Amino acid sequence: MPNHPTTPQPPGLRARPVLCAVGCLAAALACAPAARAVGGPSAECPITPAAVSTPLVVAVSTAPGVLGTRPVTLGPCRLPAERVRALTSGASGPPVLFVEGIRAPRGADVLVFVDRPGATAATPTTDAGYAGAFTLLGGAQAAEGVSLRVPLGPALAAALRDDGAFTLTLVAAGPQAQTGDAGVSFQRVSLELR
Amino acid sequence: MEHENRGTQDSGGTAPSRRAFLTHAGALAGGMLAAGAAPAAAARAPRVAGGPTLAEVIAERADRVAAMYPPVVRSDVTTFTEGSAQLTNLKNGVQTMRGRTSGPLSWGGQADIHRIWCDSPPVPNAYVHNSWRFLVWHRAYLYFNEQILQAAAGTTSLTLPYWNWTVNLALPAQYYGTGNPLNDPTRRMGPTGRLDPAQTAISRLLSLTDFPSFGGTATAAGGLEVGPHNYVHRTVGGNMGAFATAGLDPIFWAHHCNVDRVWYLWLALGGGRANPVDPAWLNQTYPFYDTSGRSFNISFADAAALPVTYNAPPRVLSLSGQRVRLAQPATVRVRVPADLALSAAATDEPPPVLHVSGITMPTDEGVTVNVFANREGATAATSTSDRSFAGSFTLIPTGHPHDGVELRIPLQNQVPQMLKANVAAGASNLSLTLVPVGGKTFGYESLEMEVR
Repeated sequence: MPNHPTTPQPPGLRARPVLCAVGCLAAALACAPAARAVGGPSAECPITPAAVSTPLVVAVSTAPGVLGTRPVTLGPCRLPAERVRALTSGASGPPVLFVEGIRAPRGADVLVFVDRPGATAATPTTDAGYAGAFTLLGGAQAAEGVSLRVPLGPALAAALRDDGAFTLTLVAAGPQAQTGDAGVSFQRVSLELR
Repeated sequence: MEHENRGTQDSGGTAPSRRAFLTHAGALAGGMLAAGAAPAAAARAPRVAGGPTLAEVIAERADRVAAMYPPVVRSDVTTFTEGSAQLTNLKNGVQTMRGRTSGPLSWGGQADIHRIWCDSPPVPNAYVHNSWRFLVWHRAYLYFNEQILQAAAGTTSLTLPYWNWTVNLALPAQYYGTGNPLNDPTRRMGPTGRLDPAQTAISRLLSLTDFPSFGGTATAAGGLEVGPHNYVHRTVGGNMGAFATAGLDPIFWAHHCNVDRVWYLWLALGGGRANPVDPAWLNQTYPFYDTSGRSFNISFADAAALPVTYNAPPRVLSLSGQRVRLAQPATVRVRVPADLALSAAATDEPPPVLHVSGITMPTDEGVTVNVFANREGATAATSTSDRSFAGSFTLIPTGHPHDGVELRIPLQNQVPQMLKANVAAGASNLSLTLVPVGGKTFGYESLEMEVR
């Protein structure tokens, strides 16, 4: 993981508090799940309401993370009931994953799964939980950090449970996944719903 | 930085001089600074009473740009068949450019434009990837490279082909082969390789209606770039796998023409889809080279309006493949891919054609069959002046059994417009109802619809 001279290096997976107020990384943490409000948004994933020209934003993870050979599962988060209805009925456009501050100097291929905490690079894109993917080419800009949006497929709508809860699992795939450390870090992950 | 093997094939020489780029980069920096001076204020400025609407401004710009730059119509690479003039011209143009050892008109020189602005821009933060610059910069890059390629090939009839990787998962065979100027031996993807259709699908992208999610913002990449675009780059690998060398592989140009085509399709869908109107986007300028090797700047506003269109090769869609005898109206349904639906709606394209084969000709009485589009309740009483009437054909008795006749019936112009209007999530649904008139029996073996 390259050290960046002006930005704090994202903490490793082990450097996390026991109680996760926001953005619980379920992959490798001894994290007691916070109490989940019944019938309302999850406290772990703050929601910014939609405005005239901005989407509703669900902060899936506001804590920096590292995507190595082990997948990273974010959430669980919960969508408001009306948004669940809009997604499951097809009335709204596709949800958009917004990942900020990604550093991938060697490039990366990342698969996104919904409610598949056990997903790996071997999980096929034909899996019902496959929601989308994004790829980064390496280089100077990717080393400095980029942000991106990628629309997610119907897996999210299909997976939403009665309480609107879901998890997202990011999996490093492609040639990088076979060489060990994928060398990908990110600052924030959110879901945008229009 | 990921360094794939740089091409060992004659790459056509070195980059345009860095001095030349830095000279123009100064102008670029000035333009960028001016654009960024008050973008938010300009974006919120009220329309001047009596002044043009935004739509009028866009239309005027499109007219002005079209008058300055010759239009191009790009075709699917599958139409560049072996021995065709298109493929011969393409190879000749590339070979000529590869033979130039240096300068912006050389193959390597053109590739170096990509290296500079994608990996090591002379102006801070002027990267053309991972932001809203991506689509529009590459549109200009393709267009002016195409002009140079036409000059190299000695014909303006040559246009860059596109590789429709949503449909054709293999890298086109025209781009392989020893001694082939379109080949690149550094590729990781071989002739038998296949892309993952889940990652080259565009229906989800087309269903987006906001540019930030589709094409990016000032600070974030959009789904088209980080989805199929980047995926194809990484999967093909070799020179294609890195910004610095991607332009050296001839498949780069066919790949990016398809990316540009997806943008073109997205805008054609309408429904609120539009390019940014922020002056911070519109007023940015970047340098390119003309066919004389002279550098010039073009704004994103003008680059977005470059007169580029795409056609789709005709595709035959099966409607019914079983023998049918109709005495009553019957409906067949077809799902038309979005790109084909939009191509069919282009005003200069011939209408879709209904192809009926294996017809059982009547021996005693004639039969007229009326065809209605998206009118599943049509009957013999439905008037042919109804908007849904799409065409008809009449079978005249021959006096003796005569089976196996084929007919091709052009469907009327509202059918393509229906296809366009009905596009959603990557495809358009169409139904055709065949109505034998007078209660006569009409039989056929198969129905197909040919769409251009």
